[in-house]
Amino acid sequence: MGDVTHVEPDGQPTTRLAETYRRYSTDLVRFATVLVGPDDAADVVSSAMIRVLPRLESIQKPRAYLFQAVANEVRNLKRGEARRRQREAGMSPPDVVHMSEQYPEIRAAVEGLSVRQRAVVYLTYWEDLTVQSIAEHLGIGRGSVRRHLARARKNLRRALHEHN
Amino acid sequence: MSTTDKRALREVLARMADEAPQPVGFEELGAIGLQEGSRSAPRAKWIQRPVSVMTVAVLATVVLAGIGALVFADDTASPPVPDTGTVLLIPTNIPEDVTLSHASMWNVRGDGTEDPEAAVTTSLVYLPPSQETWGGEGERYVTIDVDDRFAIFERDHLICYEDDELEVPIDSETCRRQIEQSECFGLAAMQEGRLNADACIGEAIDGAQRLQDDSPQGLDDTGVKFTELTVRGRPALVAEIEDHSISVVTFEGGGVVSTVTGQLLDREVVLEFAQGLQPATPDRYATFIATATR
Repeated sequence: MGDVTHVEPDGQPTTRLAETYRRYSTDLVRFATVLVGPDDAADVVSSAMIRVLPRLESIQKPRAYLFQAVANEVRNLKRGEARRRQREAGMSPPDVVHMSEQYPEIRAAVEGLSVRQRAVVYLTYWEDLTVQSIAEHLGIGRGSVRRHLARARKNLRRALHEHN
Repeated sequence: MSTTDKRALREVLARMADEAPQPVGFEELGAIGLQEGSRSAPRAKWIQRPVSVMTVAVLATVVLAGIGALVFADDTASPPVPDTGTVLLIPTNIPEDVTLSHASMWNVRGDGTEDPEAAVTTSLVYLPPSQETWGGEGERYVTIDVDDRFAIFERDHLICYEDDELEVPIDSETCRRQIEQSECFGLAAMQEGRLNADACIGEAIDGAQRLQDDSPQGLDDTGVKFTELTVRGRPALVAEIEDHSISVVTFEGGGVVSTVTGQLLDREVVLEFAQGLQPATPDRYATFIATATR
């Protein structure tokens, strides 16, 4: 697969890639929003797509591959100095909105999880994926998925207990 | 986690996801740079796995994540783990009514590969001739998963976080301290070049309590039993769900661990299957799995 097969003569990407993107982009942005918040989600997905869309034709599980790309992009974002400065400057999305929700303590606990823990929790409890599928979506091993899920549950336990 | 807890958690996740903005349009992506960086990618050989039933999921969690040990038989000391092992293992004791139906390999980056020499994880699935899926309730199967855990250590097992949740380098002091807490996968094991089977099993015992705390309903009624034994002269752990599933985890050598899981098969059949695994050269392994396509 190369450039020629994915770019029309007028320079526009092929319809097939466009269809793939449109099919999964909403789910990907929702996933990214859970990981990094709404402010950065669209940028994260865009960056990930630019990296991986040209390769999609050779991928047999595009959805998992795209989720993996987004997860990797989030890691890159987290590593970035700009992100660090933003966090240190207290510019993270405000918590005010969250306090008006029905489960503010649970949301705070979810937001307190590491990115990978949050990703595993989202894919487990919202997407209802199996451990194997989550491993494919995140590009990590099954054992790693289980460890992240176990740690996440442990971290969430107090909030869930308080809620009950 | 109770049903109420799950419901609350799902609602929170839904609210978080609902805050998602609209995705950027595809045309806008193209303008940003979709056409740049187009390149080939190796064809990934994926396998499709079905959704597992709860009991199998619990068993797999217990075994593969090194969690759980409720009953230990056999007081004899475990033999040492050999210095080297290979993920290219071929079964020789195969039950008559199952055939090789799926085979897959992954490289150190976690990508599917068709090159046995690049594989650090291999997986074989044996099914009855008329069966297409496995893992579901009432499905008969045998699977063999083999991991070189040192080879995939950094990608799969060494995930260290600072307080700010940033992942930190493997050679950092923070990561080093965290690694040292694990005798199973830790520095000592890496320096020695082989997994510490006793420590792995010991850490599994600690994990059992956590699993029971997390999902007591998943273990209370299943009658999971664990046994230590020796397979081909190597230390191994057997996990059984009565009359249902059995997994044999064998410390093959170095950082290699094989897991043979059978469902709706006699215990002895699965044990013989694990006993019959033999190392293969890359060429022989490639030839062997070429028969996997139905």
